[in-house]
Amino acid sequence: MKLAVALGISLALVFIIDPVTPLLFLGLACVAAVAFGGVPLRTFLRGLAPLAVIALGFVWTNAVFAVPAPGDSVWRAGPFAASASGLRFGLGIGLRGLAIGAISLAAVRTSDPTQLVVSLIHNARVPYRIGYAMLAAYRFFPIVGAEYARIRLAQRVRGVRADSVVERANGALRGIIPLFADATRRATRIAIAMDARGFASAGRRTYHRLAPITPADRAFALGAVLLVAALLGLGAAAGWLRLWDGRFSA
Amino acid sequence: MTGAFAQIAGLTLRHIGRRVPAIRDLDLTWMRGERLLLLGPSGSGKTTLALCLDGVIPHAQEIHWTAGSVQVEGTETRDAGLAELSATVGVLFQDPETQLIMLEIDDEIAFGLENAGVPRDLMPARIAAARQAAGLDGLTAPIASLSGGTKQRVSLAAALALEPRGLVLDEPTANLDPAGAREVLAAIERLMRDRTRSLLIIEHRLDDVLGLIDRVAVLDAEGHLALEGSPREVFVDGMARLQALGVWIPQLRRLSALLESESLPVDADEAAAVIVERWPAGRVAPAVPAIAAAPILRASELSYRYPGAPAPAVDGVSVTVAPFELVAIVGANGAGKSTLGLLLAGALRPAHGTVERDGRAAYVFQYPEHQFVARTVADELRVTLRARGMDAPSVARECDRLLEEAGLLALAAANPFTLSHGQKRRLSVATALAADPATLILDEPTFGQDERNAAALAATLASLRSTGRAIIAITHDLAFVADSATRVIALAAGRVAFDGSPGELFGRDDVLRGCSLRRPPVAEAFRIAAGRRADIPRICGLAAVAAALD
Repeated sequence: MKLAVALGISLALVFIIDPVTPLLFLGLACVAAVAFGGVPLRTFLRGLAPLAVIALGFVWTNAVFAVPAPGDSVWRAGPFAASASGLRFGLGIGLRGLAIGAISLAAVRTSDPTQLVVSLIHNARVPYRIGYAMLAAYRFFPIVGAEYARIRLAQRVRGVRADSVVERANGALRGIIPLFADATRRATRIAIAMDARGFASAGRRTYHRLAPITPADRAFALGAVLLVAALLGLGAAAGWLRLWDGRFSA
Repeated sequence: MTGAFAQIAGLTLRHIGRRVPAIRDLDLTWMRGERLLLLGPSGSGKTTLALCLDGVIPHAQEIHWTAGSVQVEGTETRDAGLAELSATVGVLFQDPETQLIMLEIDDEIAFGLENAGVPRDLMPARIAAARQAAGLDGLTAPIASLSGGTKQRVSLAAALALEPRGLVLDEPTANLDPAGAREVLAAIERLMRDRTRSLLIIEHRLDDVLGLIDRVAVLDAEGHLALEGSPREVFVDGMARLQALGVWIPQLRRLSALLESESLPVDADEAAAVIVERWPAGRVAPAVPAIAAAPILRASELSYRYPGAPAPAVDGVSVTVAPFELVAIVGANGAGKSTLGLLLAGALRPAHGTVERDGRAAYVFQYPEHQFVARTVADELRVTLRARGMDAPSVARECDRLLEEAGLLALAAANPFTLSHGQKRRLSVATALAADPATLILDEPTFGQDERNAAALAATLASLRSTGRAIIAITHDLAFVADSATRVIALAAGRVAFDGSPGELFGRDDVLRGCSLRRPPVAEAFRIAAGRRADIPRICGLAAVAAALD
């Protein structure tokens, strides 16, 4: 349910290009995750960090490379010139990406992964094989990361030097071969362990966990829709809301 | 015991992409209610056989089924479905990390029930029963936070939840530290004493299961049945054959053989009786010459904390290591053994403290593949030799010498990843030696080795030691410590809890308890025997027994 709401808001955001509206949603997602979802603020911000870098890139390219409209205010710094309309458009796109990221992160971070997968299988009709593959992957990623660090350490101890950039890139590649061998072996073993308990043969599978959509879930969805409508209405009334008009640059 | 639970006849199987069969013309009967021990050197097809019995082969894993048949409870497995077979025979695998699927204990136990289509309202009772059988009552922590031993018990509960009539235990303690192994063995012992299921166990820690098995079957390296019979027939009458096959023999059986007894002691108490009866008066273990050389590795007040960890992994450790020493570092998982090894090797930089080394240090990791950096076996050695600044003719000469010593000359052009487990280990030791280290550090050198490979490695280490190198071995294998180490450092929570000889360590109950270690069976037998006959020395390993009787 949470995922569906997050998806809906994200879709709506895609059509909004002004900077203020996404900023409001970004704040909303942060408040929802940190204040109501109990996600530590630092963990939440760290999850958003890579997206923030991409967002900054959008702001920069749009501000600097967009063709200034006539009568636009332009700032110059050395070889660069930034236009106000470009900056506004860039900020809009950048913040929009960030807001969608924050909303998704808030939805995923506040969910129990098992419950989420079971809910996807029950309510969104995701095939159970894909659902369990998602769970396996969730368990897998931290292990693969730790394994890669161990392999790099093991190879450094062999005296493989990493002085130049080329050498460092080579080293990273070299670490991938054992990692791949390792990951393949692990995946095979997990698959065997699953089949040893009858996974491949499951005809009519039953479920230990249920994930019914409760009245509380419906209330949450309704509340979210109303809140979104209120924010958009406020934007329209105050004049900052701008919808996408079909253009791909300022 | 009435009739066969499983019957294997003329079975020959070959894995996809392999030329040599994994199992060859195998005939084996597993009786109903029988507790059968399956042994064999590495690569003899033990795990393949386990997968045949629960239907994964051929229903979920493809294989060339060349000949023969497998019947479980009278039904040909190729004609039955995986659902039926996996509910008849459960399997507990070796590695706790690659057989758990879910994130919570109850979900994990329910997984098999869900696949079998057990109605949801029947699940809580089945889960509760499985939890109780594995000793997991009341535990609700997420699986990721559990110790290896507890994870294995979760997997055991998950297998038991399907109420299988047969259970295969495929080296269930091999990946665990001594405390975890004890935890799992205690759960398995309960299962074995209650004879309602047919049990097949594949295990190297033979001394722990010897009293619980009815029959033993031994495969050879080609996947033939080499030997079968009662434990007595196999381990006493067939001992020479087992040694030729390179299969582990119970330590206590080797002890009784050294004492020229035809007995098969199943625990330290029975072995003590053999010692009391047969130990020649006046024989003592030869004194171990003290090592007088000056240390070549001096570490003082070392501390290290991994980023984000709540407590330091190594906390104020000071040690010295001298030439001719083999220092074993022991302790529970998480006590800081590997971290200390990496600090001593210079692979990690300590947060506090200093390490001074005379000469190079080389480090052999537990998983040899992690250290492979080249495309051929010979290139693995050349990389290290060139890094020492050698010219081309010297590199070629030295490379050949090292390959010859490691018995890998014929495989010089092979890809390191295609080698067998024992060959990989020999290659990783050879690459470490290519650095001409003054100190050689090995992480779990005997892990996953069969008896022959382990003995070969012990011989290599002894000869390296005799040339004046210092060896540091991080290990859980206390029988190896008793036989090969000149000194032991026991760690607990990142600090040194003990630094002295193996003999002293095995006499200190407080240290053993504090570091969750257990006296190896031979040491335990001599401790009991010394309490019954005052002139019996407190010997802790088979090597010392052989030397004393020599």
